[in-house]
Amino acid sequence: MNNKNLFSCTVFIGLLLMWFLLSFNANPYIFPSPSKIFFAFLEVFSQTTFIFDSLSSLLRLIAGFFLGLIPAVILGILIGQTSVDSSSVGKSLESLRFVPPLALVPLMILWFGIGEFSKYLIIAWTVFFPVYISILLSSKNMDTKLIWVAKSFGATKKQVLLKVVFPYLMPSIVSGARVGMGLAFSVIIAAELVGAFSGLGFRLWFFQSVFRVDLMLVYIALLIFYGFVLDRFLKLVGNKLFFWGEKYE
Amino acid sequence: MNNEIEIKELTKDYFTNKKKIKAIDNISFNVKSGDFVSVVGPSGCGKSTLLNCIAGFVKQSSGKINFIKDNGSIGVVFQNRELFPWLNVSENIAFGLDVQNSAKTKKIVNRLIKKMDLGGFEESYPFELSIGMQQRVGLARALATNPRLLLMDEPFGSVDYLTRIKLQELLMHIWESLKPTIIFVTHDIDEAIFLGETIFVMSKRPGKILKEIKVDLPRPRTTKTLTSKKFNQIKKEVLEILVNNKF
Repeated sequence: MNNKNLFSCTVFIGLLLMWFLLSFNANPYIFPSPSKIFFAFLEVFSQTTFIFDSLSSLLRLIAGFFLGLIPAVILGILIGQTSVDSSSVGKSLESLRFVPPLALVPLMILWFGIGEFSKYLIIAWTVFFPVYISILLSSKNMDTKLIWVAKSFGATKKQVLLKVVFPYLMPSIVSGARVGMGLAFSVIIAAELVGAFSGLGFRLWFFQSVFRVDLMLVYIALLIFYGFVLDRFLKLVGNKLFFWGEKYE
Repeated sequence: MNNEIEIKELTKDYFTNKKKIKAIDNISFNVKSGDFVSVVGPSGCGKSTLLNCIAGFVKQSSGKINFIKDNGSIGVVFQNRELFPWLNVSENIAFGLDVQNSAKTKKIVNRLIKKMDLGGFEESYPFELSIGMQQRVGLARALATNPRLLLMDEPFGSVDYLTRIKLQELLMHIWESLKPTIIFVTHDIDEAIFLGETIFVMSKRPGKILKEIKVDLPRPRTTKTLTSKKFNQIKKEVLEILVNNKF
């Protein structure tokens, strides 16, 4: 074990110890001790509820993610390639970026009901802008000579798009998607606090109403785990696609 | 020899911050089929713009560019190689053939890899290659579709002296064996003379053709050509035109 590992281990044990000491004098319902959390973990994992909650949140996340990603890619490429972005269409689209996704929750419930679709839309909204803007920025920096090379061979517009523009923008699509996924993750939990009957966010709210702080903390740990896994997955995909990025001048 | 391209009264203006900049001013010249034309001039004189107009990448403001035999594709080679960074060497060379749905892609790519001395690097990506090698890939990609016209924009501008001579010899060998029409833009007078059959000397901006010079140096040209008396005579002529161009 090297010094760095030793240090982080000491910090971890120190924090656990501090938590343990602090929880001695606290109300166990509000501030549970580490041992209580341990039993809460066992309680959660001995039942299937957490699986259904996870599936229901992740499903919303993934459905909404693609619902936002696909139009962002299409619009981003089209607008990025036609320099419409400085026009009224591009500007009005960009101004929508400042509508916080959570501000849409009450509106979506009113328009599309309390069901799944309104949640997909909120996630889609969250994912759309980081991807869209990342593509636009990348399009602006694109070297037109790469397109010229393709045109010199007589490439059609479709060939230029598929063989040059799309592969060039692929890494920025993934990095935008990574940012979008992170945001969507926080938004879905908040969106489930109101108007949902399943999901990790819904369950958190429920546990709060029955004073089970220990279970709330277990669910927060679950959120950390899912967020980490999803982000690492997208990072892996990005690195695989962007192998040529850093070193190429 | 027949004319390959006829350029008549070509003018190109650019607009930056509502200011009009004349890049090319009323240029007329013909390029013969199979000729090796060097265009030499100071930086920013509009020689790249001229090339981009001929390639059709930018539209001229006025004037005409006539291609006499309008068949076959063109090949372009840029100073910064402009290789597709996500494609490896073979895939980069095959790019134009793929665009044109060629059935002989594999055969042609293999032949070019051998010719350009890129064996063993088929699977390498551009960022893994030296600049000289990248430029050989760029040249191979342009040659793959067997273009009748090769447009080259300072292709050897960013390589060291020795690599440059090797690339020049390679290009000369290709021209002598395949005889495509080449328009080669450079600011290097030595390079223009060493490679070209015809030299067009361009003025400072707005670009005009100051003189057309026939280079009657014997072929094959070698490094000895670079120090010959005739070579220096032509160099002196070009230099005098460029230095005396004061507007």
